Amino acid sequence: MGRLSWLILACVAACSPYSFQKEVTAFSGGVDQLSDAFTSGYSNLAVDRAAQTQLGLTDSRAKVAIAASCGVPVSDLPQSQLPCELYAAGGATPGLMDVQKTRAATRKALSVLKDYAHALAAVTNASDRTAFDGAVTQLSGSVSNLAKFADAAAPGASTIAPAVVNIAGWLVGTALDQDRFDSLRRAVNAAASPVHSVATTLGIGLETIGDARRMVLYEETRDLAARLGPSLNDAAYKQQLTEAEAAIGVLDGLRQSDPPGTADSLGKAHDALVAAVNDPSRNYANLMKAVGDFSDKAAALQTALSASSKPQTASTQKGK
Amino acid sequence: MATIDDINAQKKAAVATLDQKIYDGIAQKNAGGLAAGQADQLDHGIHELMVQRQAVYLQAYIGALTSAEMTKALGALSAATTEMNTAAAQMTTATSFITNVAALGSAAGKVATALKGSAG
Repeated sequence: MGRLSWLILACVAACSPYSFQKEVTAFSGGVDQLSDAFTSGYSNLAVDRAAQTQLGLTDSRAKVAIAASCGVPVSDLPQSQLPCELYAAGGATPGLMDVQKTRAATRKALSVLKDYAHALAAVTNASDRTAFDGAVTQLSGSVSNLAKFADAAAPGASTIAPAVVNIAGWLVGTALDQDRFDSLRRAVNAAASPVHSVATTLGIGLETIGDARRMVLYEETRDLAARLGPSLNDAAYKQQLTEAEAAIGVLDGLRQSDPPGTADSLGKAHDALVAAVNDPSRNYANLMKAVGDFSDKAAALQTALSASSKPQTASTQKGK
Repeated sequence: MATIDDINAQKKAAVATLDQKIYDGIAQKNAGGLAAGQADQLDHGIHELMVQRQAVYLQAYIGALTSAEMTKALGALSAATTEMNTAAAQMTTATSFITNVAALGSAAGKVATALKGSAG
């Protein structure tokens, strides 16, 4: 009998969804960072382009117009989606790069992945079980108080009734834990292959945004570098060199970022979660390592895409 | 029909070729000794190669994003999400129910105590 109890306890411990809470939380955090990397990438691509436009306007001393889109709020009107920017009067109206048009579709795919990661976190959230246990304790207490009135008619009722509540609470809690674990196991196994498809696609998306930013930054830096020469006084030379160095710094950060590696580590972290859920006793160490790798890469990628090249101040142009 | 992995592999190969050409172009410009106008021509060529590279990335991304495989994958993730959220909600619903019953029991206890006091 004693041996059976230990076996039951061992199964309950091994099949607890809460043993994965820490790693699942880290996994979910990594997915959020991946999403933030997209947001930063799209936003900073617009900033990079604005900086490039400003440089072009300053060099040509052009008359400037305000894009028509600035006059209307962003709405279903297609033209309202165009950038609200200054541009050379008489020149081409500012438009979106093709990659910027993928934002809505990207947001939709990211939302599905984020919801999935958050559901993993919800089903492994141990504080829900703590709250459940607290409610059972509260119920047991109030039943105990009520049962005291029955003691006269049924001696011992105030002792037995709360014990029954506690046992029932334990049984229900254990069953709910098992439901959570079963749904976790079914979900991660069903998502094993789809997560790879989504991760690879989003990895290509991040590469695409990174490449668009690198192209704009390369051309901006090239134009900044072209201004440098002996005709500038010391202060102007130093100032413009600093600006070129700042832009090349952002460009280099994007070069060093690793979207395919991050996407790959997302898939591997999920694979490790599947293995750990299927056999918690053997694969936990792999899970910790894979999730750690993914979190680190997602954070590094987000940092690279968050760096921006701000438009320069007028006082720094043309050595003035 | 190409899988997302196929699309990714094709993109990788095309980008590797373009990367080499872009590198060579910039290196050639930096080496100097160019006749008048040649540097501008090289800049233009490098720009065109970068535009092509962006087009390759974009084509791969849109191809993967709109593929049947991606649609199916997102559907599977949504279904898994729904199942887990339902399981997670059962415990919070049970907790809420028990809390309400306990509060009701507590109120009933106070009423019983009060009634017992008035009867005494």
